[in-house]
Amino acid sequence: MFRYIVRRLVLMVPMVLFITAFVFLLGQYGAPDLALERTLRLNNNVFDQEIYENLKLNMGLDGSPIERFVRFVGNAVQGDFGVSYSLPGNPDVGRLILGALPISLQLGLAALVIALAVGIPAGVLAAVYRNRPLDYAIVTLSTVLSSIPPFVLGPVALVLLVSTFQVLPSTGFGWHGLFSTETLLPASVLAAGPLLVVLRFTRSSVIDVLSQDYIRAARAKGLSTAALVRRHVVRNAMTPVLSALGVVAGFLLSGTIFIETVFGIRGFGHVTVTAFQSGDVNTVAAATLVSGLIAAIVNLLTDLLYGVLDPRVKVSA
Amino acid sequence: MSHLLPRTLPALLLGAVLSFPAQAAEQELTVAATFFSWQDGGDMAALDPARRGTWSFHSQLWAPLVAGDTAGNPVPEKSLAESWETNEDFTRWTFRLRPEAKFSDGSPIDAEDVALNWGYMAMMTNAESFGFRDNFGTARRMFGDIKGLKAFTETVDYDPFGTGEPGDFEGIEVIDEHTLAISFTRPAENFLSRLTAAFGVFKPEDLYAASDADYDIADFWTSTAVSSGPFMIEEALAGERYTMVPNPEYFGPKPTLERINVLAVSEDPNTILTAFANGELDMVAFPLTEDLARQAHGDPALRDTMRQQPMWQVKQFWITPNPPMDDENVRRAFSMALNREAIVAVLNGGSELKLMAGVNMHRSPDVPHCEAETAAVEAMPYDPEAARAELMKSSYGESVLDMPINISVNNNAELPAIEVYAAMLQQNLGLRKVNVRTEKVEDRNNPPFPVHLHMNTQQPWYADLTDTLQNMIFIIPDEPWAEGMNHAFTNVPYIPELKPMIVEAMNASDADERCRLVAEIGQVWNDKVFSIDYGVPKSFYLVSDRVQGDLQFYRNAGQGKPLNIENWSMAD
Amino acid sequence: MKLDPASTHDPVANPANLANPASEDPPITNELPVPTPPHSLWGDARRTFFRNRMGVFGLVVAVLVLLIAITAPWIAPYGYAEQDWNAIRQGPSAAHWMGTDAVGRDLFSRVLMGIRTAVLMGFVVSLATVVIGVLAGSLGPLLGGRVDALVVWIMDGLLNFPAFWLAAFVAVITKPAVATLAQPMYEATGWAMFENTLVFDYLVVFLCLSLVWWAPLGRLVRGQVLTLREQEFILAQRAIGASPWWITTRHLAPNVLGQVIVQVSTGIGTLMLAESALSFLGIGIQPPGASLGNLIYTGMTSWRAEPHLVLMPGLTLSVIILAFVFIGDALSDALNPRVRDR
Repeated sequence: MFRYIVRRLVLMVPMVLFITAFVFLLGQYGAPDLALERTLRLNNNVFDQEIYENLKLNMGLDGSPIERFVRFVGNAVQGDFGVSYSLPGNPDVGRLILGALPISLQLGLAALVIALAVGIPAGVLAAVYRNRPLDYAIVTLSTVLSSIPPFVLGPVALVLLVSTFQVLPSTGFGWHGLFSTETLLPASVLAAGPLLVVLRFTRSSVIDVLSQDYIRAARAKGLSTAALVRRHVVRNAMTPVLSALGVVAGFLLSGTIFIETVFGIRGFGHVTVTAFQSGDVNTVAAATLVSGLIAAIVNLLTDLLYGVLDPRVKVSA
Repeated sequence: MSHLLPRTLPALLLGAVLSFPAQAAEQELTVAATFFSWQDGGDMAALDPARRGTWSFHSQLWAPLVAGDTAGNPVPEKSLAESWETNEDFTRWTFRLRPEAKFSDGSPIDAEDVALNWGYMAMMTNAESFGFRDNFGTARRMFGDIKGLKAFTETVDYDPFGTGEPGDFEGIEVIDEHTLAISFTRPAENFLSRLTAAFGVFKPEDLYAASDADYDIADFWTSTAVSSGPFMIEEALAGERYTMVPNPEYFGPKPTLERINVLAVSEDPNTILTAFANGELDMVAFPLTEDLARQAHGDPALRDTMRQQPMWQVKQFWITPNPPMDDENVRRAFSMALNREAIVAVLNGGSELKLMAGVNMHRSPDVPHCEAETAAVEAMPYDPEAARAELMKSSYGESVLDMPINISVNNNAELPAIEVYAAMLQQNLGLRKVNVRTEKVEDRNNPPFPVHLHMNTQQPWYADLTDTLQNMIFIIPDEPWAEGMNHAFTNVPYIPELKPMIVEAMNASDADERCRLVAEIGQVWNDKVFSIDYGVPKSFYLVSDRVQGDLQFYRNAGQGKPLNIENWSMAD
Repeated sequence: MKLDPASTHDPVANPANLANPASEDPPITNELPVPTPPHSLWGDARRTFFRNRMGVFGLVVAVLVLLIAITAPWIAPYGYAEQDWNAIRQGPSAAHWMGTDAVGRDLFSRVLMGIRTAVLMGFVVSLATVVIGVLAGSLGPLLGGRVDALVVWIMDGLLNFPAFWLAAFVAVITKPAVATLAQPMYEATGWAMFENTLVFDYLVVFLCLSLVWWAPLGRLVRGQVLTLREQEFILAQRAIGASPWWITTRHLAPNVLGQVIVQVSTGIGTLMLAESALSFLGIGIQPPGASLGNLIYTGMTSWRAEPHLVLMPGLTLSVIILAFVFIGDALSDALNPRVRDR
């Protein structure tokens, strides 16, 4: 097991680096020459070679793109991601991301909780009453909801729930924590996609379990459906559901970009989108690296979880 | 009005706990600060006193030497200076400070502190005048006539962390513990007005708190600077909010509010309106964008809560010298191809509230500068035929129709205006490649594509000159008083005949003569340089009727107040 | 979406599906039993598909969308960039079915053009992903060794990373690079399109989506090729001297094809969504180009006062995506005979 983890970690690093390198190097090609701009700005629009060279050294812009990338990675390992040149005040990128990440993680967690808390019971219900109207209704409704893109569902929910009917508070005024009413709406919208995945997996898994012999035996003993579900079905059906967590995590990661934009939550997605829109190469590169790492870690964790839960899966090779 | 019980309950409780039982929650305000984003900075940008953000909030925390009302008239009971006098020709002002004045930590405020404040402000002025980390060149722009200050600012290098030595110049004299004298290079009749706009007194030790390279912009949020004004910070959460409570050591009248929660808001204007309509916000204490104002006005529930303040914004196009804009005929053709009434109509968006006013304004109706003269300045007539003919006269000839013209805008909300321009240019001139670019151009000196026109909003808040001249300064970069105006991006090709006119206007001592010259300059400007600007003459704030008592917030000192500035020029 | 759990299409497993489903025992006659019509994979698939109501609905919508995409410039009542300054920010009315936007453009026409963009992106990028995916997926196992390892490594990397993030990163980064390339390209070829920024936007979106989205398909193809390669009937074929081409087209392809089709059809929906998402963030198609995503983006500045600017394109996008999801589901049911009881 331990060796497996180490192997995966070792394999993960070049992968993440590769993607970051791709983004970074491409970015260098089209990026404006920041040292030049700054020279002109400091020197009243007159170009001065000496100032230019000094600035290049200071800003870390000397050397070939490959050298710069190596330096970038070297610094990144020490936690220094450079400075954002397109935001006023040139804030430190590392701090920017570090401040924003916990918010996104909390948002994702809240969405996960909602997806599981609603998806699993609904999936069980749908499976138990399969092929009957309730099943159709549940599956269709969740398919429809999850097919609506989050940047459509979000504004619609905003208009209806916050503006017209005033059922929920406005978002965008700071982060109020995982369990506040302000988080409810964004987390729910974020949960729409994962909900469907969880629901489907639960449903098919429960259907599989229900067709097993031991279930029929339990029924023959006279166990009611409710007790049956409670005692036997749920536990046994959960394993495949957990394997869905990998997919779910993917949804959550991509979803945060939109949710944070629509609801004005200043998390990691928001930082990244701002960097996109202003062409802030440093932040984009750092964000790629960070999201690559997160994605890889999440995948590793889900694989491990799956391996732990289902002894039939050999966690090796 | 609000259905949000879970939220109001703690607020009410808090209000009850912190205030006298009889006056509970009415004394607590929840106020929206400006749009937060790292780009904007704005009011929430920094509590670090050296990075002033907008005066409206900082003036709650740090007392001005001389406080003013919206017209720039002094208000002695809120001023740190209890009295002042000037000599005959206004070249020397003496201020007596209140002996009992203290900072919120109990330490006394004396003349030495005030002098160090000037010194620090001058030190922070540097070449990157649009940087977040300076006070927008305030020292040089507003107080450049103090003896020695100008020269001092020329010795200062770019110093993002304020680690240098504060200025010590001859114009500021500490006479005794409570007396300060300021001398000027030329008569400064309007010095008091300028003071009310831009100078508050911080504790010098706080000003030097940021003194090494590790101090990051984010640290400014949680500054523990002491206050000298009516309020002090109780709590500051980086990027989110800060809470102010009354400062017990304040020398002036005690505020009636028990508590003010200042929140940073999301960038989505609709959220603000919704929150305000829902009762989650008591006040929107920053000027609404036109879009917000229009929407608020269109909503019957919000219409009555709108308050107007005399503030002026000019939306203009800046042009770059990128071909083909470097050709005078092309510029004139552009001017003639745009239907100004239609533009204003579109921008007013079919709403009852007519926000956009006029085009080619070059003046603020609320700032008493040469109003009659500049009103007589005529824009180029709207004439598509003539425009096309003019276009063909340019040195580019037919090929201009195929040259790409990129119009950029930073802000999504400005997009409709830009698209109207693009459409007009395409239709009326037959240009085939007019592109609208919405990518944010943070560094205007080096955008990712060749910009030809850039939509910009100006707030001529420091009315050191008429705004006309202020806008034109950048075409003459080699003049000493143009230095530091970082408009490289907008360096319009130099127009020889304008330079002598501008210099003359800047130095004119007679107000009428000056205005006459300004009008002439405006006319030449319209003729030879492409200019389209339109005014947003009123700014609106949203104030709910729950808010009572002291409403200093939207006084917005320093931004577009109508100041009485006569005969004032920056030329040395 | 539901199959009758009791039915299968395997005549051997369920003899009742033969000639006379109603009877219990075949009557004793002198006649030979009537042979059944041949049940091919495609025939069965088709029939199952059409029994699925949602799938049919999806198909209808998809065909409609395709028609709209092709005929958009002709059926739109106004030009998509045509501004009418007397009709600003109006709600839906007889003259403008979906209302107008901030500069008086007819929203309905813009939505139609947006559909066109979505379809263009969805189908063209799908095609690209199929080409790249199939190539990568089959070349790997066929060529083996280092090439295979490299392909696997790249694919894994792409699969582990949330696809949309990567597409977004690539889009942001390639924009300026493409813009820098434009001038030299123009000089080299003299093609006017290189000066049109709208073309760049499309190019960039196309590039970043195809570079990222081929991975799932590639993995699928690769898995199939690996499995099938070893199966006995392939070995048998090779034993009798069948050429690799014959094996590929007659045996490998039909098996893989089913799954590929399902992947692609859901992929079209996802790609449309991805393109809209990129435009929504402001890094895809820029105005005045019409993409459903950027219509929502510009509409978001006034969702409170003019919700129709967000709702109309939003609803349209949702319906289109939903249609493709349904098609994908129905196809998956139809083409996976092993999967029962869904």
